[in-house]
Amino acid sequence: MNFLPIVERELRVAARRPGTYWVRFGVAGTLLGLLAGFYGISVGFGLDWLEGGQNLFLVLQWCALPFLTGFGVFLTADALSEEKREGTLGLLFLTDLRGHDVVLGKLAAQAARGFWAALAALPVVGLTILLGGVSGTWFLRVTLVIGNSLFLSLALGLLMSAASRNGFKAVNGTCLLVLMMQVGVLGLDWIRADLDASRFTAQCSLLSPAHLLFAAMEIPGLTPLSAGAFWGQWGAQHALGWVALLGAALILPRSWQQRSERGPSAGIARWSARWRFGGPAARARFRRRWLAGNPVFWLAMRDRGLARALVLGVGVSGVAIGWWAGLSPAGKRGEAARDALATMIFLAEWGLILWTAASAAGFFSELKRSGSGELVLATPVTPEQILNAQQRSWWRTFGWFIVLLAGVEAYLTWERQQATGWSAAASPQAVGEPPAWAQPALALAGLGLGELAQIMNLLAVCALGRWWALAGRKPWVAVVRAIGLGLVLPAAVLVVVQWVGWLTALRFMGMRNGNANANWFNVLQGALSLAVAVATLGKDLWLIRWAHRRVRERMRIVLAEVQGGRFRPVAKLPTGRRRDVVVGA
Amino acid sequence: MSSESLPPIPAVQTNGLTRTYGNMTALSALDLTVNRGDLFGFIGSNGAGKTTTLRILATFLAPSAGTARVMGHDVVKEANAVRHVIGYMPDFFGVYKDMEVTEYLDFFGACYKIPTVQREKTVNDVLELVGLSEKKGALIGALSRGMQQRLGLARVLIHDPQLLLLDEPASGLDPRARIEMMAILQELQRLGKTIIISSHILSELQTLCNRVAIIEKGKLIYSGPVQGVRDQMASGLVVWVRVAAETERAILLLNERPEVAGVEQVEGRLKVTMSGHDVDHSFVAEVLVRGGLKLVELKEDELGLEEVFLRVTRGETQ
Ligand SMILES: Nc1ncnc2c1ncn2[C@@H]1O[C@H](COP(=O)(O)OP(=O)(O)O)[C@@H](O)[C@H]1O
Ligand SMILES: [Mg+2]
Repeated sequence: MNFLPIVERELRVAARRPGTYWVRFGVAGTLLGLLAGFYGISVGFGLDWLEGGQNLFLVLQWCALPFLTGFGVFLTADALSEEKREGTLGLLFLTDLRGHDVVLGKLAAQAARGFWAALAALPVVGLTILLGGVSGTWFLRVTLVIGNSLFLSLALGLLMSAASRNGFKAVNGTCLLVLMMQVGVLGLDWIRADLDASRFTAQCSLLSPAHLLFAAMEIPGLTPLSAGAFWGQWGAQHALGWVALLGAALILPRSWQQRSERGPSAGIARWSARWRFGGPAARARFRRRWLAGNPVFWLAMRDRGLARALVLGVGVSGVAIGWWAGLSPAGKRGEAARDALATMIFLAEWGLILWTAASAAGFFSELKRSGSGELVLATPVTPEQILNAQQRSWWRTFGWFIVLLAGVEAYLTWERQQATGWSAAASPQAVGEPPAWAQPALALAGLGLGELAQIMNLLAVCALGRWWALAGRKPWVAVVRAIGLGLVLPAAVLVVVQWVGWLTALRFMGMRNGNANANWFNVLQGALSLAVAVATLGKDLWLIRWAHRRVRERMRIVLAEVQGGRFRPVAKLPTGRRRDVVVGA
Repeated sequence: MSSESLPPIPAVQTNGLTRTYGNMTALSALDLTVNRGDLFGFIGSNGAGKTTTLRILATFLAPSAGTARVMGHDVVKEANAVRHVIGYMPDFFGVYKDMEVTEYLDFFGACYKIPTVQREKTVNDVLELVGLSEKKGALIGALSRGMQQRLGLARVLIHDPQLLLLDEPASGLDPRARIEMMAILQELQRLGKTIIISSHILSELQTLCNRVAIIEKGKLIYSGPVQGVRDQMASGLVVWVRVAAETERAILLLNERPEVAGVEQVEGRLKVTMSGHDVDHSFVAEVLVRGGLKLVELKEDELGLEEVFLRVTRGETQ
């Protein structure tokens, strides 16, 4: 064991990054904001939500689990693959270091960073305990489960990044593994229960930290978990982490060298090239078709791999839904198909967001990294054209799928609405009843705007992914930023705003005690979701404009940061000084 | 720009060209003129500012101060016109490894708006010119470094530009590939192109270029014909002499002559520096032999450009 040198190096590099501090401030700040909001709302509306510290503790633990798990992925998933790409891993192995030294060193260093981020939550967590209602065992169990979840995602990240060279693949793979482990296993148990029409029992789910966190909750209506069950489940999950680390240590020394072009993988490579770019004839045809107008469009379109995979995926999904419906008892087929479809749509929407961000970030990052962006901009092609080309190619690839999804989703929503019925509004109009058209009209508008907002969300993620890929170094970081800051964070804020609006309106209308008019209730709900859709649209428009302007104005400067394939940040970008850019005449 | 009777516009003319990165000055008040038809060597050690200059000329960077005109067009105000008349090859090779050679050239041809019908022929022509005709269908990632560099050259030529800006095109090439590259450049000059080629290796430009500029720390040190470098940079001609004995007397005898600027003893030999460059040094042997000394060795110093360059960049001259 000789992993201390690695730890030292990692920590020194990490300390130099400004991000290290921002994470801590961010965590502490967010939590304090959450606390203040929680307290403010419950006092303001006269609700006793805190129930001692219990509810706050619940909110905290359910925020901490996804945050720290995701942070773990962020910390390690590209850690080893990046060193492979930069060729530094080979240098490590030329010394006396072994695979497990490197893996453990990385783990220790990144775990320390994760630990510091978690520690920033301590003041707020302490407060919940002071408020009472949280037992010592519960607190200990939650700490252990969340800590283990962080450990697991660090370990799985190291495993994937030991196996891969491409940062994107490593991060995607880790996300998939972690999602599978946290919620996928629950899904497996659900499917099994559904198939033999039995009750849900945790079997695969025992591997999921999220499940354990749920089971460990000490709230009314839930039987407390016995010590034996807890430790058994926790121990199994912890062991899984060590298995992943062992795997990483074994794979790493075998995977750091660059693959040779020949050998058994050559056949696969040829096959994959055909899948992505087509044969010689297809290549020539693509060029004739797409090079003429905006040549960069061809550049963005030439890799057809994803587009083809999408068609295939949709076909396979259709068959799978049919199969699933066929398995269900005859009377419930329609319902089973609808449920499966809804699940697929949910997954597809997230997949779409990811793919959109990834394809935008990937394209622009490649332009920068390979230096071909500089070559292209030395021709009469403008940044504007490059931007448009990527945007159009995105629509060409995903457009039909987006329209299909929106259509199916709108249909499902409509059907649900029909079933639960807004016909209630057609009852004789007493004084104080909302007009009969209000609810359907609001629902319809909400539906339309909601779908539009979803498409705009995609465009915003695309635009942000482009700019952050150009401005930064790693495309997958751009993807995380684009989705996190452009989509998830605003959505979370809007949910809270909607919630506060809801409470305010209820209070205003004196309907707190549940004996209110159900029709007004529905109208209010419709109006609120309409407002959220409008706010989302506004946010997206603003983000898109901002990101497009950045790309147009700064593309040349940003590409000039790269020399000889190496990144050299321009000391400080002169903000807003257009003189630094040569804009096409 | 049609009339031949007007005084020719230089291919490149810069005036007080300056570029700063933050508070670091990469290029400081550069005045450079490159005439049409020149094969112009742009020489400087690493970090001297060659790439910065070429990027400004390629309209990729805006100057912080000063102006630059390429074929009469201002690089900032008429950037698009400039882009049409130049071919720029950066100091590294921007490629998509999974692209075919033809695809690559076809793409850049389209970027220059060459009509589809013409493009195929143009691609074939430039491939012929750089000797890559047999590699048409090959993937770029599978080409050798020398071939990739030639492909880069082909890309630069695709729109038949008048001025080529080549940033260290020979770096990383083996001697054979380097010679091939130089031969292509000479051929291009014969075809009437103006070529600016940057390098930190002086010797490779010594025979190739008709004019050179030397730049150091962002400042222009010399610009003019290749032969002029030596005359301007080096002090007088140097002759190395070895005598069998009585070295002291030899020094005295030589110092008496007006043509001699100085004599030094270096490792048992005498380094005789003349006052000028065109001095006929046959008198040295005559003086020594007449003085009764036994002359063992006499050699005129071959002060190569390389040495001049090293001196310049070490700050010995100027
Ligand atoms: N994008 C950049 N940001 C900051 N400094 C840079 C950048 N590009 C070049 N420099 C600096 O400018 C100077 C000149 O660089 P360059 O023109 O690349 O030199 P050369 O091509 O002669 O080796 C160097 O000191 C380099 O560090
Ligand atoms: Mg350079």
